Formats: sequence, C-alpha cells, structure tokens
Amino acid sequence: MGASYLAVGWNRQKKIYDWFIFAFCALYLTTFIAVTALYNPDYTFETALIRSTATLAILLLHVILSIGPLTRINKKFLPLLYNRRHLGVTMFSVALIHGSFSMLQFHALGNVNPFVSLFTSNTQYNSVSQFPFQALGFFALVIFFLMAITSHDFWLHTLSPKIWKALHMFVYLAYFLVIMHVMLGVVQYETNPVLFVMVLAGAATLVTLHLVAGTKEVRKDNRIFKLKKEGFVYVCESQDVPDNCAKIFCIDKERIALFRFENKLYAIHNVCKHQGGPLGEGQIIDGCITCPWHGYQYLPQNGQSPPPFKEKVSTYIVTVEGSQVWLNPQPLPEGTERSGAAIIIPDKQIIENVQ
Amino acid sequence: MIKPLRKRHLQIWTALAVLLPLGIIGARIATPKFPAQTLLQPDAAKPLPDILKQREKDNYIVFIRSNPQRSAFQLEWLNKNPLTWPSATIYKVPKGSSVNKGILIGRIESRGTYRFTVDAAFEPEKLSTAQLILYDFIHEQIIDTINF
Repeated sequence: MGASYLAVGWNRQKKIYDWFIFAFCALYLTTFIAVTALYNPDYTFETALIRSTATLAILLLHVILSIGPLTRINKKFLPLLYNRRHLGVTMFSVALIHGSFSMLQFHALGNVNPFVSLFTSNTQYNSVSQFPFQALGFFALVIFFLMAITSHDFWLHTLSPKIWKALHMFVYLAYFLVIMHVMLGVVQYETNPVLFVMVLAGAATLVTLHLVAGTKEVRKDNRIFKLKKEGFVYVCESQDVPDNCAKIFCIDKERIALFRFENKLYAIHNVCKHQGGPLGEGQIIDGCITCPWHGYQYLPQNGQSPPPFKEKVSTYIVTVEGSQVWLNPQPLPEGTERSGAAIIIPDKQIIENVQ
Repeated sequence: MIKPLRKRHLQIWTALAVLLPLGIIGARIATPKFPAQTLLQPDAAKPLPDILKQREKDNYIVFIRSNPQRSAFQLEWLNKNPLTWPSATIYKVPKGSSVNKGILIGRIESRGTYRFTVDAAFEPEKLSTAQLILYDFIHEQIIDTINF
C-alpha cells in the first residue's frame, strides 16, 4: 500500500521471491538447453530456446492459475498470492521470448510481413491435425501482454476495479488458447505420448482445484443461520475466532469478516476496496486488518484505512453473550466507528493460561 | 472476491471442465499416426559411395550420388551455413519450367545434411535437361536455381 504510484513496491520479501523466480527460470532454461544440446546436437540454439521458453511459460501459467484455489483450500499458500503479479509478468516475459523467436525463425526471414505470414502461411482452419496453431498462441500472447501492462495499480484505478478484473479474467481464455496451441501444434508432430499426458494432467489438476475451491465457497455462501433475535444472528462461539485472524460469514448474500483483536471482536465487510480481495482471509498486522491480496489496510474499529489513505468499508455491530457471538448483518455506513465486543474469557481458562 | 465474481469463476471453470478435455482428447485422437513432416528424410540414410555431380554455392553444396552399379541414386544437400529460410522444398523441373511442373524431391531446413532417394532420372546424362529449384513454400517464392 503506497500513498503514490511507484514503479514497483519491492520490499525484502518480494526481492527474495523475485530472485527465487529468476534463479528458477535461469536454471530451468539452462538445463533444458544443455540437455537438448547433449541428446539432440542437430537442434539449433533458436529451436532449443523456443522449446525451453514454451515449456517454462506453460509451467509458470499452471502455477499462477493454481495459486488462487490453493489459497482458498489452505491459507498456507497465501504468501504465493501476495506475489502472483510478479510471477504473471515473468510468465509473460518468458512467453514473449518464445513468441518473438518463433516469429523470427518461422516468419521473419521472407519478404512478407511476419504478422501477415503468421496468418496466411497456413489457412487450414477446417483441419484438426493441420490447424494453424500459431495463431492461437499469438492471441494468447496478446491477452498476456494486456494483462502484464495493466498489472500496475495505476491501471486498476484508471480502468476501475470492475473493468480491470473483467480484463484479467481473460486469462482463462488465454489458458484455453495455450492448451489448444500445444495440442494442435507440437503434439501433432510428436509420437511420444508424454507431452499429451503432461498437458492432460496439468489441465485436470487445475480444473479439479478450481472446482473444489469454488464448491467450498458456494457451501460457505449457502450456510443458513437459523438462530436469530432482534436483528442479530448467531454466528459462532467466541473461541472459534483465532487471535488476529477472522472467520467469514455470508449472511443475506453479503460476506462479513469477524476479526478478533486484543480480545475484542470486530466485524467489517469482507471485500477490499482495492481489488475486491477477501479481507477475512488476511491478518491483523500492526493493528490493521491487512488484505491478503495486495496489503491494503483497514482499522478494525472503523473500517477506515489509516491516514493518509481514504478507503473505507462497512462495519457491523457485534455482541457477545457468554461464549455466543451475535452479529447484526445490517451494514453501518462505510467507516462508522464502533467499539468491539469484548470476549468473556472464563476464569478457568485464565487460570490454565497462567499455569 | 465479491459473490458475482466467485460465481463467474465457478461458471468459467465448469465450462473449462467440459471444453478442456474435449479439446485435448479431440486433438490427440486427430494426431496422425506418423509425423506430419514426411517430406524430411530420415537421418539414417547413408550416403552412396560415388559422386556423379556436384554444385557448390556460398551456403550449400549439392551432390548427386550413386552406387557402383548405377542402380540407385541419391540427392545429397549439405548446408554449409544456416539458410535464411527456415524451411524450403527442392523441386526437379525441366529447364525453363515453373515449379508447378516440377517433381517434389523433399524438404530441407536451415541447417544440416539431407539425403533423398531419387530415381534414374538423376543420371548425369538425363540431368542436363533439368534443373533443381529451391522453393520457399510458405512465401511461395523461388530461392535459388541449380543447374548441373
């Protein structure tokens, strides 16, 4: 979170993460090219580079697309989510090298414009095995390019979160295009089934992860709160909410995050103003609720970002009766201050903790 | 994430759960049993011992080879330097004719040595009335003409 736009907000963790990504990519490409040179000495360097960058970009794309559902299934994967944008830009850069060298090798050495050549050298759109697969890769690369150049917060604010998110959801179309680019391209020329099995396994893993995570979210959304009184609904027991963390409840189609901080409970709207991130999946850091997606922060007692920031989310009234937590799902105006509901800790538990 | 967005994600992945297997398995079923690039000759073809004709250009050398009995003939294409065309085809055409009237011999790529089994029409005496054309089939242009 920054008061002004910076090129890239690198902190120590992000630098370590980026160096790790860079080292992995360099090691992967070097190993791939070295093994190719060893076992297929007839291959040119350009061919080895085209193939190594292709496989690396697809591997990174699978990792990127699995981060979202993995964090929904297990919070331990959250650190990956914080850095997903860097991984996305890295994947685009690798894919761009693949695309550029492919254009250079197959379309740039004649007297026809390479882009014209790309779309006119093969027009067998009615054939499966001879389909012009390069065009599919080209369109996927265009989508990745648009995503990469708009990955900065400047574009998020300029385009609005709704348009930005809609644009970035084209990644799923790009993924489908990439898979078909591989299946109608290199797989048609390979008799070895390993590549086909790998593509199928990758797609099956992603589909399973997303459907499992999606179904889990639907169950959360459809939970029925039966116990109600005077505008409040019973949501959980006070000890169910971990310290400095939250539990998320979907009441009347709205998600509410119930945070525990310094033995008080606070409820705020679960959706971050930045990109719609799930605030309830974040933690309280330095006294602020911190969005797990990009680190936007809000004070638990009023749902406001600490000055000089101006973002605000709705707050809700919480009460604790004995160990029961009751929540009023009627949102208060964004940024409304209210005191937290003190958690009553049984004497027995205090004695046990002291011992 | 807001609820409509979560719903859209689930809808997209439900659609992909159908489309991806269809696309992947469909493409796999359509894969030819043999590699599509049948124009490329296998590496294993060994050179025949006698060189009957030879033409040398800046970037490549072309040999017409045969066995001692003159019952088998071979066209050998040796790239000295990488060609500036990623792939090209070799045609044998009657002198002065266009590629359309030629016989396709095979396809070469920018590097390497290629050997193509050819028929008795490549005997030196018969070859004087023909020429080889190196043809860029992607951009439909003649790259070079080789006369023996």
